[in-house]
Amino acid sequence: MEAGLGYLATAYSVFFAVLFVYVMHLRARDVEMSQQLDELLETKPE
Amino acid sequence: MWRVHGVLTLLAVVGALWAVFVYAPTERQMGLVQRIFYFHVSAAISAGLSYFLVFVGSVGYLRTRHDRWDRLGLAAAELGVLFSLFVLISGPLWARPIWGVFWRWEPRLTTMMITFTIYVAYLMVRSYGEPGERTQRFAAVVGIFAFVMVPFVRYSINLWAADQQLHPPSVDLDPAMATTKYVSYIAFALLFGYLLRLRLSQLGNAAKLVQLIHQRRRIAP
Repeated sequence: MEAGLGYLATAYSVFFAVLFVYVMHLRARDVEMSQQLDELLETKPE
Repeated sequence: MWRVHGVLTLLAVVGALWAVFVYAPTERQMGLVQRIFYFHVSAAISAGLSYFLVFVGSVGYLRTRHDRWDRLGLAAAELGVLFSLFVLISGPLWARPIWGVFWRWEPRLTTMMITFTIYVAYLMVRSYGEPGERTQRFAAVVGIFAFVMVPFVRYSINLWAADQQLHPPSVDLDPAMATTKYVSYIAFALLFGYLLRLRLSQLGNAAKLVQLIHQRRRIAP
Protein backbone atom coordinates (compact mmCIF):
# COMPACT_ATOMS: atom_id res chain seq x y z
CA MET A 1 0.00 0.00 0.00
CA GLU A 2 1.42 3.39 -0.98
CA ALA A 3 2.28 6.02 1.59
CA GLY A 4 -0.68 8.08 2.71
CA LEU A 5 -3.36 5.76 1.36
CA GLY A 6 -3.82 4.17 4.78
CA TYR A 7 -4.29 7.56 6.43
CA LEU A 8 -6.80 8.69 3.81
CA ALA A 9 -8.72 5.42 4.03
CA THR A 10 -8.75 5.63 7.84
CA ALA A 11 -9.93 9.24 7.80
CA TYR A 12 -12.81 8.46 5.44
CA SER A 13 -13.74 5.26 7.31
CA VAL A 14 -13.83 7.10 10.65
CA PHE A 15 -15.90 9.90 9.11
CA PHE A 16 -18.49 7.47 7.74
CA ALA A 17 -18.52 5.39 10.95
CA VAL A 18 -19.18 8.48 13.10
CA LEU A 19 -21.84 9.64 10.63
CA PHE A 20 -23.53 6.24 10.70
CA VAL A 21 -23.58 6.05 14.52
CA TYR A 22 -24.95 9.59 14.76
CA VAL A 23 -27.66 8.94 12.17
CA MET A 24 -28.71 5.73 13.96
CA HIS A 25 -28.92 7.70 17.21
CA LEU A 26 -31.11 10.32 15.51
CA ARG A 27 -33.31 7.61 14.00
CA ALA A 28 -33.82 5.95 17.42
CA ARG A 29 -34.85 9.30 18.92
CA ASP A 30 -37.15 9.97 16.00
CA VAL A 31 -38.93 6.62 16.39
CA GLU A 32 -39.38 7.21 20.11
CA MET A 33 -40.72 10.72 19.60
CA SER A 34 -43.06 9.58 16.84
CA GLN A 35 -44.58 6.91 19.10
CA GLN A 36 -45.01 9.33 22.00
CA LEU A 37 -46.65 11.97 19.81
CA ASP A 38 -49.03 9.44 18.27
CA GLU A 39 -50.08 8.27 21.74
CA LEU A 40 -50.59 11.84 22.94
CA LEU A 41 -52.63 12.78 19.88
CA GLU A 42 -54.88 9.74 20.38
CA THR A 43 -55.51 10.33 24.09
CA LYS A 44 -57.86 13.22 24.81
CA PRO A 45 -57.08 15.12 28.04
CA GLU A 46 -59.92 15.37 30.59
CA MET B 1 -38.38 -0.71 5.26
CA TRP B 2 -36.19 1.62 7.34
CA ARG B 3 -34.05 -1.31 8.44
CA VAL B 4 -33.57 -2.59 4.88
CA HIS B 5 -32.69 0.89 3.67
CA GLY B 6 -30.23 1.35 6.56
CA VAL B 7 -28.51 -2.00 5.97
CA LEU B 8 -28.28 -1.38 2.21
CA THR B 9 -26.79 2.06 2.85
CA LEU B 10 -24.22 0.65 5.27
CA LEU B 11 -23.23 -2.11 2.83
CA ALA B 12 -23.00 0.34 -0.07
CA VAL B 13 -20.83 2.78 1.92
CA VAL B 14 -18.50 -0.04 3.06
CA GLY B 15 -18.40 -1.29 -0.56
CA ALA B 16 -17.59 2.20 -1.81
CA LEU B 17 -14.78 2.59 0.74
CA TRP B 18 -13.34 -0.77 -0.34
CA ALA B 19 -13.64 0.13 -4.03
CA VAL B 20 -12.09 3.58 -3.58
CA PHE B 21 -9.15 2.55 -1.41
CA VAL B 22 -8.48 -1.06 -2.45
CA TYR B 23 -10.04 -1.87 -5.81
CA ALA B 24 -9.46 1.33 -7.83
CA PRO B 25 -5.96 1.80 -9.24
CA THR B 26 -3.95 4.91 -8.42
CA GLU B 27 -4.13 7.55 -11.11
CA ARG B 28 -0.71 8.01 -12.76
CA GLN B 29 -0.44 11.81 -12.86
CA MET B 30 -2.38 12.92 -9.78
CA GLY B 31 -1.56 9.95 -7.57
CA LEU B 32 -3.30 9.24 -4.31
CA VAL B 33 -5.23 12.50 -4.07
CA GLN B 34 -7.30 11.62 -7.15
CA ARG B 35 -9.23 9.16 -4.97
CA ILE B 36 -11.06 12.17 -3.50
CA PHE B 37 -12.79 12.35 -6.91
CA TYR B 38 -15.14 9.42 -6.16
CA PHE B 39 -16.70 11.03 -3.09
CA HIS B 40 -16.36 14.58 -4.39
CA VAL B 41 -18.40 13.94 -7.55
CA SER B 42 -20.92 11.68 -5.77
CA ALA B 43 -21.54 14.41 -3.18
CA ALA B 44 -21.93 16.99 -5.96
CA ILE B 45 -24.56 14.83 -7.70
CA SER B 46 -26.42 14.38 -4.39
CA ALA B 47 -26.33 18.16 -3.87
CA GLY B 48 -27.79 18.68 -7.37
CA LEU B 49 -30.52 16.14 -6.64
CA SER B 50 -31.30 17.94 -3.35
CA TYR B 51 -31.68 21.26 -5.14
CA PHE B 52 -33.98 19.67 -7.68
CA LEU B 53 -36.13 18.38 -4.81
CA VAL B 54 -36.20 21.87 -3.26
CA PHE B 55 -37.57 23.06 -6.60
CA VAL B 56 -40.16 20.25 -6.70
CA GLY B 57 -41.19 20.89 -3.08
CA SER B 58 -41.46 24.64 -3.69
CA VAL B 59 -43.61 24.27 -6.82
CA GLY B 60 -45.74 21.65 -5.03
CA TYR B 61 -46.26 23.94 -2.06
CA LEU B 62 -47.23 26.97 -4.15
CA ARG B 63 -49.71 24.84 -6.12
CA THR B 64 -51.33 22.96 -3.23
CA ARG B 65 -50.35 24.82 0.00
CA HIS B 66 -49.82 21.44 1.65
CA ASP B 67 -47.19 21.47 4.40
CA ARG B 68 -45.87 18.14 3.14
CA TRP B 69 -44.36 19.85 0.07
CA ASP B 70 -42.91 22.61 2.23
CA ARG B 71 -41.23 20.04 4.46
CA LEU B 72 -39.75 18.33 1.38
CA GLY B 73 -38.29 21.66 0.27
CA LEU B 74 -36.79 22.37 3.68
CA ALA B 75 -35.34 18.87 4.21
CA ALA B 76 -33.86 18.82 0.69
CA ALA B 77 -32.34 22.30 1.11
CA GLU B 78 -30.63 21.27 4.35
CA LEU B 79 -29.18 18.19 2.69
CA GLY B 80 -28.19 20.19 -0.38
CA VAL B 81 -26.20 22.58 1.78
CA LEU B 82 -24.65 19.67 3.68
CA PHE B 83 -23.55 17.83 0.53
CA SER B 84 -22.38 21.07 -1.09
CA LEU B 85 -20.25 21.75 1.96
CA PHE B 86 -18.70 18.30 1.52
CA VAL B 87 -17.96 19.22 -2.12
CA LEU B 88 -16.54 22.62 -1.17
CA ILE B 89 -14.23 21.07 1.43
CA SER B 90 -13.09 18.00 -0.53
CA GLY B 91 -12.55 20.06 -3.73
CA PRO B 92 -9.86 22.40 -2.34
CA LEU B 93 -8.13 19.45 -0.62
CA TRP B 94 -7.86 17.84 -4.04
CA ALA B 95 -7.00 21.12 -5.81
CA ARG B 96 -4.06 22.14 -3.60
CA PRO B 97 -1.59 19.47 -4.76
CA ILE B 98 -2.84 19.50 -8.38
CA TRP B 99 -3.44 23.19 -9.16
CA GLY B 100 -1.08 24.54 -6.51
CA VAL B 101 -3.84 26.57 -4.83
CA PHE B 102 -6.83 25.69 -2.67
CA TRP B 103 -9.18 27.94 -4.62
CA ARG B 104 -9.40 29.75 -7.95
CA TRP B 105 -12.35 31.85 -9.08
CA GLU B 106 -12.91 29.75 -12.18
CA PRO B 107 -16.45 29.10 -13.56
CA ARG B 108 -17.29 25.80 -11.84
CA LEU B 109 -16.04 26.87 -8.41
CA THR B 110 -17.60 30.32 -8.64
CA THR B 111 -21.04 29.07 -9.72
CA MET B 112 -20.92 26.34 -7.07
CA MET B 113 -20.09 28.87 -4.35
CA ILE B 114 -22.89 31.22 -5.50
CA THR B 115 -25.39 28.33 -5.51
CA PHE B 116 -24.28 27.25 -2.05
CA THR B 117 -24.73 30.75 -0.62
CA ILE B 118 -28.20 31.08 -2.22
CA TYR B 119 -29.35 27.88 -0.50
CA VAL B 120 -27.81 29.04 2.78
CA ALA B 121 -29.94 32.18 2.26
CA TYR B 122 -32.98 29.92 1.72
CA LEU B 123 -32.31 28.29 5.11
CA MET B 124 -31.88 31.72 6.68
CA VAL B 125 -35.28 32.76 5.29
CA ARG B 126 -36.72 29.68 6.98
CA SER B 127 -34.96 30.34 10.28
CA TYR B 128 -35.54 34.07 10.60
CA GLY B 129 -39.08 34.19 9.21
CA GLU B 130 -42.14 33.87 11.44
CA PRO B 131 -43.38 30.27 11.37
CA GLY B 132 -46.39 30.10 9.12
CA GLU B 133 -47.81 30.33 5.65
CA ARG B 134 -46.14 33.63 4.70
CA THR B 135 -42.60 32.39 5.35
CA GLN B 136 -43.36 29.09 3.63
CA ARG B 137 -44.62 30.94 0.56
CA PHE B 138 -41.60 33.24 0.47
CA ALA B 139 -39.23 30.30 0.93
CA ALA B 140 -40.95 28.46 -1.93
CA VAL B 141 -40.37 31.43 -4.24
CA VAL B 142 -36.69 31.54 -3.19
CA GLY B 143 -36.48 27.75 -3.72
CA ILE B 144 -37.75 28.08 -7.29
CA PHE B 145 -35.49 30.99 -8.23
CA ALA B 146 -32.46 29.39 -6.56
CA PHE B 147 -32.76 26.40 -8.86
CA VAL B 148 -31.92 28.65 -11.83
CA MET B 149 -28.26 28.45 -10.67
CA VAL B 150 -28.02 24.65 -10.82
CA PRO B 151 -27.75 24.34 -14.65
CA PHE B 152 -25.07 27.05 -14.55
CA VAL B 153 -23.01 24.86 -12.23
CA ARG B 154 -23.56 21.77 -14.38
CA TYR B 155 -22.78 23.48 -17.69
CA SER B 156 -20.25 26.06 -16.47
CA ILE B 157 -17.53 24.15 -18.32
CA ASN B 158 -19.29 24.72 -21.65
CA LEU B 159 -20.63 28.20 -20.98
CA TRP B 160 -17.33 29.99 -20.34
CA ALA B 161 -14.14 30.10 -22.43
CA ALA B 162 -11.78 27.13 -22.17
CA ASP B 163 -8.84 29.29 -21.02
CA GLN B 164 -10.80 30.19 -17.85
CA GLN B 165 -11.44 26.58 -16.89
CA LEU B 166 -9.59 24.35 -14.48
CA HIS B 167 -12.14 21.54 -14.46
CA PRO B 168 -11.79 19.15 -17.43
CA PRO B 169 -14.75 19.01 -19.89
CA SER B 170 -14.76 15.19 -19.79
CA VAL B 171 -12.75 12.44 -18.11
CA ASP B 172 -11.81 9.06 -19.60
CA LEU B 173 -11.64 6.57 -16.77
CA ASP B 174 -10.04 3.16 -16.50
CA PRO B 175 -12.84 0.47 -16.23
CA ALA B 176 -12.02 -0.20 -12.56
CA MET B 177 -12.18 3.54 -11.84
CA ALA B 178 -15.50 3.83 -13.67
CA THR B 179 -16.94 0.94 -11.63
CA THR B 180 -15.72 2.58 -8.43
CA LYS B 181 -17.36 5.83 -9.49
CA TYR B 182 -20.73 4.09 -9.94
CA VAL B 183 -20.42 2.23 -6.62
CA SER B 184 -19.79 5.60 -4.93
CA TYR B 185 -22.78 7.14 -6.70
CA ILE B 186 -25.02 4.33 -5.42
CA ALA B 187 -23.65 4.63 -1.87
CA PHE B 188 -24.21 8.39 -1.80
CA ALA B 189 -27.67 8.06 -3.35
CA LEU B 190 -28.70 5.57 -0.65
CA LEU B 191 -27.18 7.74 2.08
CA PHE B 192 -28.94 10.79 0.68
CA GLY B 193 -32.26 8.91 0.55
CA TYR B 194 -31.90 7.73 4.14
CA LEU B 195 -31.02 11.20 5.45
CA LEU B 196 -33.90 12.74 3.52
CA ARG B 197 -36.40 10.24 4.90
CA LEU B 198 -35.07 10.77 8.43
CA ARG B 199 -35.29 14.56 8.16
CA LEU B 200 -38.81 14.37 6.69
CA SER B 201 -39.84 12.16 9.58
CA GLN B 202 -38.35 14.62 12.10
CA LEU B 203 -40.14 17.54 10.44
CA GLY B 204 -43.35 15.49 10.41
CA ASN B 205 -42.97 14.99 14.17
CA ALA B 206 -42.43 18.71 14.66
CA ALA B 207 -45.70 19.32 12.77
CA LYS B 208 -47.47 16.74 14.98
CA LEU B 209 -46.17 18.56 18.06
CA VAL B 210 -47.64 21.86 16.82
CA GLN B 211 -50.93 20.04 16.12
CA LEU B 212 -50.87 18.61 19.64
CA ILE B 213 -50.29 22.04 21.18
CA HIS B 214 -53.26 23.47 19.22
CA GLN B 215 -55.41 20.52 20.25
CA ARG B 216 -54.60 21.00 23.94
CA ARG B 217 -55.16 24.76 23.75
CA ARG B 218 -58.63 24.23 22.32
CA ILE B 219 -59.49 21.80 25.10
CA ALA B 220 -57.97 23.84 27.95
CA PRO B 221 -60.53 25.96 29.84
